[in-house]
Amino acid sequence: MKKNLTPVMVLFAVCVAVTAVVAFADFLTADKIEENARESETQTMRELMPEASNFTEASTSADKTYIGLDDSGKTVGYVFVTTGTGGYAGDVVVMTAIDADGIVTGLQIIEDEETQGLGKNAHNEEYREQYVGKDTDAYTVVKGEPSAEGEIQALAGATKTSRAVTEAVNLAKAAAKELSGGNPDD
Amino acid sequence: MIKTFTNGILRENPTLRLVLGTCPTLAITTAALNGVGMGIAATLVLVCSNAAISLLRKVIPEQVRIPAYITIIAGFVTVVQMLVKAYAQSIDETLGIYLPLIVVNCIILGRAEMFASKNPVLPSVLDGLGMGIGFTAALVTMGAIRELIGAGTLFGITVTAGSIEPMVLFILPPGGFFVFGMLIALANKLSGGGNKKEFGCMGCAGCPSAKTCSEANGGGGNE
Repeated sequence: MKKNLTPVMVLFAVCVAVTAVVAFADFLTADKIEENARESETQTMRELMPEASNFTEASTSADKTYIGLDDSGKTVGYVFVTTGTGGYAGDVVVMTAIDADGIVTGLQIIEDEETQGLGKNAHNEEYREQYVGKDTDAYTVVKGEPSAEGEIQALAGATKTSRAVTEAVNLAKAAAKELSGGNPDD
Repeated sequence: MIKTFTNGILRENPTLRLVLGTCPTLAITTAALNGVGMGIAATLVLVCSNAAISLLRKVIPEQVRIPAYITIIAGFVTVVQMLVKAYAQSIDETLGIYLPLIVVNCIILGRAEMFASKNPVLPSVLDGLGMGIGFTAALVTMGAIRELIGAGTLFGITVTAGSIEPMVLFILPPGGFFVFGMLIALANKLSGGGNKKEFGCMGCAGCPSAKTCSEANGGGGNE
């Protein structure tokens, strides 16, 4: 009986010890990790919408919604965090800045696991610029040269990534419509 | 002692000679900087787990050694992951899922089995350090080659991207296998070859895959 019990006890002891070490490390780092996440999100928001002096949270169909206000409290625009599914390696989370007229003013990809050199190129300014300032209800992805205002040229070898980003931006535009529906034209 | 340390750098380089941990190697090496991040994280885990397992080698019974080793390794990887997420976020982003996957990186479990469980603490730590440095060197070399030819940059700095069209194939899987094969050939040449006996191969009898291995069942062993 002892021969069978000792290995079990040792394994149990190892597991308890390791759990204690991991719990301790978590205790030391959990706050910093959460702080990092919030900080990087806030920083991205400020970069996307420099005219806003502060942001208030709101609720729409988007994952996260922020209304950008200037010093006088007037709405400058909106920032949405939305997720496009169907990327090459899963979801692509995009933060989109949309002005009060519903036009995209900028976007950043804040979470993705796309391939370096292919899908990751969606982070490049050249690609993201395509979405900015276009007066269209929704964007679509095309492989060749775009012919209409709402057409986005897909990244070479990364059509799935392009589609996921576009889906996220379209979700942001839809969320913007939900908010501005009640606002009078400026 | 020094020999234990330098062993892992070329003669028994875990990636190019022992051919361990090939999955993260192929996936991570699309850029040189990725190799640095992964190499450092893996080395940290390797040194810590080798030390811990060596300390406990007389205490952990044979029957539960694999679950015990994996639990210890997983514990260290989790701690490293938390530290990276808190203090080195950029590494977390580039490594993505391959950071937690260090738990099943064969190099770590392999060295625990082959070395740390049979040797005292200081040699085990040196072995871990040497193997980690060898792993990092292999990753950075492979990453640099693939990045330079496949994207025209090196450590993110544009070198040829402006003038020569990069061969994207090199940052895709086929390119990875090709560069990997070439580096293995080079490493074999530089270290003068060597037979499997030196690596502590236990022969077919001790190998967990013996039942399904065609070589073990059909022909002789691999002594």
